[in-house]
Amino acid sequence: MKVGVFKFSSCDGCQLAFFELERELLELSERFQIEYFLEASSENRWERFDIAFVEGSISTHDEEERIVRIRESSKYLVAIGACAVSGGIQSARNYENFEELFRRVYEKPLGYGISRLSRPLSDFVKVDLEVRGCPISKDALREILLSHLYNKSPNLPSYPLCLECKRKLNTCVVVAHRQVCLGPITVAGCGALCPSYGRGCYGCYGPVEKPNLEALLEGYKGLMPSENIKELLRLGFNAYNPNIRVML
Amino acid sequence: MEVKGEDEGSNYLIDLDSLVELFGILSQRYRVWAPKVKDGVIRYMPTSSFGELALGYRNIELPGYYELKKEEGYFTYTHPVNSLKELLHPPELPLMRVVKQSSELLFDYTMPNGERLCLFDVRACDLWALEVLDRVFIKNNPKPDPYYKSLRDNLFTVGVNCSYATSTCFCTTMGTGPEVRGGYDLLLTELKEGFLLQVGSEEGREVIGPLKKRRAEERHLQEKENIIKRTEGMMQKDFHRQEARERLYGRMDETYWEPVGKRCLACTNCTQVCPTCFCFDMVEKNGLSESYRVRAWDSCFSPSFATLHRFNLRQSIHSRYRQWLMHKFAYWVDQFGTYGCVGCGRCITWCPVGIDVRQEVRRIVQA
Repeated sequence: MKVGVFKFSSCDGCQLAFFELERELLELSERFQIEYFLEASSENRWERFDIAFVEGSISTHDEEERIVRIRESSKYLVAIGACAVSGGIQSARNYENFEELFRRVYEKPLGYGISRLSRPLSDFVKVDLEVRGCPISKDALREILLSHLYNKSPNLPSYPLCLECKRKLNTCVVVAHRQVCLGPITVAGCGALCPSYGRGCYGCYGPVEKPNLEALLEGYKGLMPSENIKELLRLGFNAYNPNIRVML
Repeated sequence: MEVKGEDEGSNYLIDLDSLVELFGILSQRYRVWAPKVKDGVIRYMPTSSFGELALGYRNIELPGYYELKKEEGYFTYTHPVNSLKELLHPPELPLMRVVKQSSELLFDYTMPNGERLCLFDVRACDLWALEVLDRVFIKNNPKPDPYYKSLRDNLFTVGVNCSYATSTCFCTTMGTGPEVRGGYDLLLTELKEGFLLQVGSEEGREVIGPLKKRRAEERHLQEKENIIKRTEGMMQKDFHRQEARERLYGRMDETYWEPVGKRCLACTNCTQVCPTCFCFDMVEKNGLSESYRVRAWDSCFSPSFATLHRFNLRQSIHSRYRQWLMHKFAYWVDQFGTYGCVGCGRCITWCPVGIDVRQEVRRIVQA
């Protein structure tokens, strides 16, 4: 099976999940030929891909064209990480006055066409699978690769973090410690990392399908004003997720 | 509910030293789980010495709120935040391991190791929950679950009568407490002069054999009655459960459920802390050279729960809430002959937005 790994506007962190697989990656490479992976190899071929893993958000005009070409070259396209799935931390600019913000940061225009918005891949092309997280976990990556090997659907959670958190026998930080936690509306998969260390989830895995944000804002009023929670979401990794942007 | 039997002359009074000694005997015979303080809450955990117990605490519980305070006395709290479900129906139980050796697949079935377990300090609501789970997994199950059964057969329980109720307790409404009426091997009630110790099984009798104790007198039993009456008085009767059940069947229309659907996050917390919510998922954890089949807690609030052929039959949150509440307060009776709710109130306390299931039952029934 031919695999391509690509990146757009992002920090490269999700691609590291491949290297974190270490010995397993070597074993898997007997079945998966990595044809294109700029961060891993200086020999890259861009022909047809059975699976394309794509990191990063689409935030320049050039990127808008390149993601379409990747889609056309790939049978199965996987968005990896909060940037590719939601637009990433850089989508915080989507809620600001772009020209003003740009002038504050850069003295001169850049040598490339930057878009006003940082957007997820799904705003431009059909995405076959979204892998959540900032960064993604190597377990999710292994599951996807093995699923292709075994010809089954990858088993990635769609349930909220609270379920994973309770399975880990954690005490709820909202009820017991009066902390703001986005766990109830965030997808599981991280192993409830933050609540396991006594702090609230800040939603790096992004929203569950149809998150009931209104109920969360109402219910957390005694912990934090609604505007501040919305601000947290606007400045978060998944601010421009299709399920979140409509509510901010 | 099946009573293991509390015969005449099985009532003793013991002092604190004997209670410590009892705990020592239990620790020698069993792997003991008991309430301990962790992360600012009381939680059942493996416990090896009496000094680790969460004695002399009071849990203040409100919808979406939990706090722990110090209190004069010993068994001054209600129940731990987790329940015996965690012990008998673990959150993640590996059932099978598959290993590939040369070209052959080897299947390795994992069963619990058969060690003797003791749950120390179980309250009436949770002992009732034990009976509810027994019916689900064994008694009313055409295929009794071997994993649950092997843990259950090895379980010894020490019940404790509650001398206090939190604002989220409603065992009187569900008819499960506060008095422990059966299902225990030993039963403790904290009195002014010491601890009333009552025997509920032959094994219980054997355990307390070497213990220094004296026969309890009529006034001790009277004091126990008074304590239970006082605890009962701390709770209100929230609704009439049989009537509520009958009326709920006529309240399936979504207009009754939409108000709570607007408030509910579908976070699954209520089902996870519930001592009787037993739903699980079978998760295949595949690796390159070995795979595991794991039984993991699931929840009817999860979007994947009712997803069949990629279509979720319960898209709306209100329809998931309806499924949960109707199961607890109506369908369960048809299915297993008990209510699915034991009135422990954990779902109320641990709802991050403080939804009170008692209010929802009342609202829907009275609508």
